[in-house]
Amino acid sequence: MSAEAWVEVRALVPHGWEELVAGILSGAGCQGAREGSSAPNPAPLPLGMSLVRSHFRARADSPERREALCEAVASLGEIDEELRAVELSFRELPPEDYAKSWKKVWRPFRCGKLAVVAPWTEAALRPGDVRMELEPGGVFGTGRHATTRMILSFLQERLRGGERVLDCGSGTGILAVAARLLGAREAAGFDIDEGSAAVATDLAERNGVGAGVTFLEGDFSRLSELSPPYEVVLANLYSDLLLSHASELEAALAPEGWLCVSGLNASREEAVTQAMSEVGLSVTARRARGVWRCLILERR
Amino acid sequence: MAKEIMALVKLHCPAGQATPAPPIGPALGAHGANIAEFVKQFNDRTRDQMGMTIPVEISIYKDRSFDFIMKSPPASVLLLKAAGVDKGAGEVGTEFVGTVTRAQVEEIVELKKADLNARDTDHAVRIIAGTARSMGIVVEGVE
Repeated sequence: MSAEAWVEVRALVPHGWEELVAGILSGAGCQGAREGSSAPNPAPLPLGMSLVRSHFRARADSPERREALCEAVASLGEIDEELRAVELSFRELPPEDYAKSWKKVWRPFRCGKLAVVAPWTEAALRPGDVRMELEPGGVFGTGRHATTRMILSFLQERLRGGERVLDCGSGTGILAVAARLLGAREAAGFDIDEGSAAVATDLAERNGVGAGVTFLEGDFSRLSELSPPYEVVLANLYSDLLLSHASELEAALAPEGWLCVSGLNASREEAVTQAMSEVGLSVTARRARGVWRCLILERR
Repeated sequence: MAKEIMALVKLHCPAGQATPAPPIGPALGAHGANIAEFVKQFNDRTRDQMGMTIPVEISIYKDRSFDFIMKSPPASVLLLKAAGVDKGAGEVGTEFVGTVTRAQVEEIVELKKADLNARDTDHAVRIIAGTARSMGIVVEGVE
């Protein structure tokens, strides 16, 4: 696909009729439709009205084309009087190659000596930097979230080399792969997200650490298929999951190992600390970023 | 992983034939979500419904990853099925293609009520009946 200009058809539609109007515009030669606005501060819409947007190629634009769309929408007034309120307007979108332009938003970033770059980015690295190539996609864990970054930071501080690492809720595999790149001997992970194991395995292979990594799709019940205990256990999970799986996290941890939990909000820190204490783990280090907390826990 | 949503995007996309062009491109691209990956996953999941337009809700997370759910099938598809016809009228009000009962409309309302932005059940019935009329399907028992 190359850069192409489009005309955006904007329909103000009474609540409830969005799907019908989207269907009418598609049937009249537009391509798909979008409801609502995802802009951070969208302009307020008239009370009781929604915004439906559809598009056609600018090279197919003509006064007749626009008139035909207006007529198709006007004819809906015969169906229900509410539909007489539908209003159309048109806006030209500048040429853009959407297959590529989203990549501009994605910039390489650094977390300590770990430089996370996309396959299409060239980034100058310092001696001693560890490069990870990651293509963001449909699985969570691209390293941009504070909870992921706090664990990445702890990994760099605490890994001595040669450890076996387990990541519970491994997503893209970013933490397990980072652990391998930073010297861990072995890394394993599991996640309930569909497709996550394949994405994580691909990430490991793409970064040359395919050997010594195992990813499974599923929840804590798959832990028995891996090889616990691990010297390092990572869990970037919702606090409810940390609370309900505290004993499994403890059981997966080797005697002298450390557990790193993230994904918990400040308001849940006390509850998580308490639950971990009940299974014999104490907080030995913590980090905060915004509302998010990341804790290191070890056996007393 | 602890996922934090940055944006929710609701689109109507052609099953099995989505492309990075609008509306997908600008909607996802603004948030740095991988458009090619969405298109691939959406087309894979909808290939067997080719010819239909599928409502889909995409959650884009703060780390720019995403996932999506397919909403209930469009009312037009459910109405064609209820009326036992293959195709609706080409233009609004020009043709009569079939009939559905009020009970069938209410069944469709039940199926779609979570996704319809209607004020109440009566309004939802009115919307589904209106959709039927726009396709040349007469609804018995609804004004």
